[in-house]
Amino acid sequence: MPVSPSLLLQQDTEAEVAPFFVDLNKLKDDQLQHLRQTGLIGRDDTSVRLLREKHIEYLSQVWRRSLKQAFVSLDSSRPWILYWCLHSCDLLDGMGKIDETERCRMVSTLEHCWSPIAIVHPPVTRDDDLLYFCNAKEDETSELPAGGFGGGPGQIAHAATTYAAVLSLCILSTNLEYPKSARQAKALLTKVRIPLYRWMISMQTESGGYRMHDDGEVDVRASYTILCCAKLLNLATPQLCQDRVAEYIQSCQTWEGGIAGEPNCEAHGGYAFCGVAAMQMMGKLHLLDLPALTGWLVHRQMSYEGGFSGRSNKLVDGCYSFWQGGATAITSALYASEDKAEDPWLEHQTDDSLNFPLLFDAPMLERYILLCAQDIHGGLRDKPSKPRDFYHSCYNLSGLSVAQHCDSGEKVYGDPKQTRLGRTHPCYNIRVERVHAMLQQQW
Amino acid sequence: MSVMSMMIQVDELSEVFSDLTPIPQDDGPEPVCVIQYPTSFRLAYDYMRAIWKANEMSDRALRLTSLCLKLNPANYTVWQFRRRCLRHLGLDKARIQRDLDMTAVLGGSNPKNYQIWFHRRALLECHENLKDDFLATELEYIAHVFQEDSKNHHAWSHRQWFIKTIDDDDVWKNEIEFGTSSCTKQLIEEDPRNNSAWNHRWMVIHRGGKTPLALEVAKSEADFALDTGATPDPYNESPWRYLVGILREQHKRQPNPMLMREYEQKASNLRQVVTNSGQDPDTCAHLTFARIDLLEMIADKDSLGMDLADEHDTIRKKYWMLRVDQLQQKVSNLKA
Repeated sequence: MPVSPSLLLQQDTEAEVAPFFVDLNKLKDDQLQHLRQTGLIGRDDTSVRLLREKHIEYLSQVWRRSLKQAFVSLDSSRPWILYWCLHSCDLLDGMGKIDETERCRMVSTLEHCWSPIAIVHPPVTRDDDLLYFCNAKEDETSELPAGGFGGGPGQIAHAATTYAAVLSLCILSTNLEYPKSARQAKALLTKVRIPLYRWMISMQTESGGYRMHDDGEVDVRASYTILCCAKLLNLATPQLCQDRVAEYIQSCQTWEGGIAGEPNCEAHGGYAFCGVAAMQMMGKLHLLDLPALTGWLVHRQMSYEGGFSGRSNKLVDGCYSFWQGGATAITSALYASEDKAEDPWLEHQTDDSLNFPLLFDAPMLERYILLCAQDIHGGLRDKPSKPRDFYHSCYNLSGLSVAQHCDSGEKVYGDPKQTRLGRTHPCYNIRVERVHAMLQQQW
Repeated sequence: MSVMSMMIQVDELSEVFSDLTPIPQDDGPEPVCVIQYPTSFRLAYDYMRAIWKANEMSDRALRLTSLCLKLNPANYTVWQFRRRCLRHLGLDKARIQRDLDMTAVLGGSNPKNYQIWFHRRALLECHENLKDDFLATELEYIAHVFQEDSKNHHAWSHRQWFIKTIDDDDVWKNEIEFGTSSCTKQLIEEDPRNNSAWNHRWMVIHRGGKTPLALEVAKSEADFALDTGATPDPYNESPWRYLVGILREQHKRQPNPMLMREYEQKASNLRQVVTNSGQDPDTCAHLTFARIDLLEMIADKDSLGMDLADEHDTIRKKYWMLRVDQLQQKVSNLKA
């Protein structure tokens, strides 16, 4: 019987990754010297380092230079490009290298991605959340301003690009050491807040799922991206979070225990994160089949490579460090033996000790990210045979942050001080202090 | 009408749209994330913006969307506008087929972009008689994509939506049994580690619903998982997870300790297969975890979890220790 193609691919991947798992104590002097030159290990010892400056340099090109022609394939994802690079710099403590002018340009670019529309709103009833429908009338249909952020100027509102834009503006508006851009970012969020709410409500469907855009696909990504924006902007009303919203996500949990994009589809890391984070933000994570979910999540960590794969019998990929690692971190919270906090990552902001174990092997993940995912010229990647890109840089670093900060008492892989990143919130994926600041905002 | 004639060419633009003024993109002053658009890209989209401003939904507008989508197939706004044009011009069977063909060309041999697949779905949703008019061609297209990538997540999702929408007995049956456009048995035999195929099998055998299987069907599926999946390659995770899924579903419907024991025994027997291949069966962590899951359903205390935590599946040590703890609690609660 011929060997399974999947097994062959897995064996190839293990072979590809093996040379990166060098035993640093067994290297010859000239090999060590080479690694020191790249910056992967320090001068004095053999603990592995994060190429901080090189990564920041790579990410900064997005606001310092223009992107080459091939990037036309991301022409409908420009807020994403900004978020991936800005959040990564934030985790690397590199925000100090971005000046006011650059920040104001970022806000302005996002403003030009704002896509306003008029929504025809049916007569308001007593059950509606009147505060947000503001001018909506009781007896008649009214036309109200709504909108969202698109992938670029002139592109219609889209849940994912809205998420990326809102997160970027949250990062900028909470950076008070740069008051001019912080004010501008806050002003933009203030301006769009209510119209955004109206658009988000209009994306909700009968099934409880949300559409990604007008006449667009419905899947679990929309549930997450919309809820995340709503929480950060204090718009998570009962109507936005009604029962059917959670029921839709529940219907996406599969026989494997993981979560799929839509009911009946295959459990997949990206959607698992979206489903888990969305349920957590609604305080309804316990409604999922937890043993099945946990069992599936932990089995996504690859025994040899240490990184995560997206689906059963698929290959390791650095981006799943966050999608799967983050989902596991969130799910781990439900195993706390004492009082379960509504948001344990906000409650334990300054103190690293969470009162529940992180259910995946953090040092093994850190090892994969540091040894296999880093490109020695800056930027991070899926696996060694793949080129670096902004998306993989963001999600490898976000996963590294989760591994470092959500694991109480565990010894970190690599140089603990040198590799330490800012603390990302596993649900929102911006720094916890920024989430805290946003949730304190008066609008 | 050939697919290429549905697309305007770059050098035709200024002539075909001579009555319109192209509108440049407004990024504002000194934007970030600036892309070096090639001239043809810029021109096509400048005219697209002019068409949008004029709110024109015509044949030439449709042909322009084809060009813009060739330049960036992920532009969801252009796709949405394309659908508005199609609806305005009238979506009959012929136009649907032409657009499906165009979409296939734009997508390439292994499309992994949401917009391409959603467009197919949106077109098909407009048509009443999917089974008679589009079943064969659509399944053929999807099977074609599987030849490039048998795990294309979008292709599988599309197939799941399509089959469920048609909801026809013969079609459901064909998805399981050997047929020219069948999926699961053939793909599982070609690659028992194709988890997408296992997922599809689950969906099909349940007819896309959540009702638990009848006991006889469940046993047949459990045997299939063991015989076709686990026996040839016990280290394959997919059939073990499928087996546990099938049995857990039965257990939730009505606890059936005899059934669990029967399959725990069958699982255990496969240890011999591992031994015969020259390996230590304890290293087959998936076999062990399946036994743990089945034994847990009948609250049978075991030491298998600690073995995985300490030796054979150490990357999941914390998880296994949690399981052992929970199981001990469960057992002592029952005894109390």
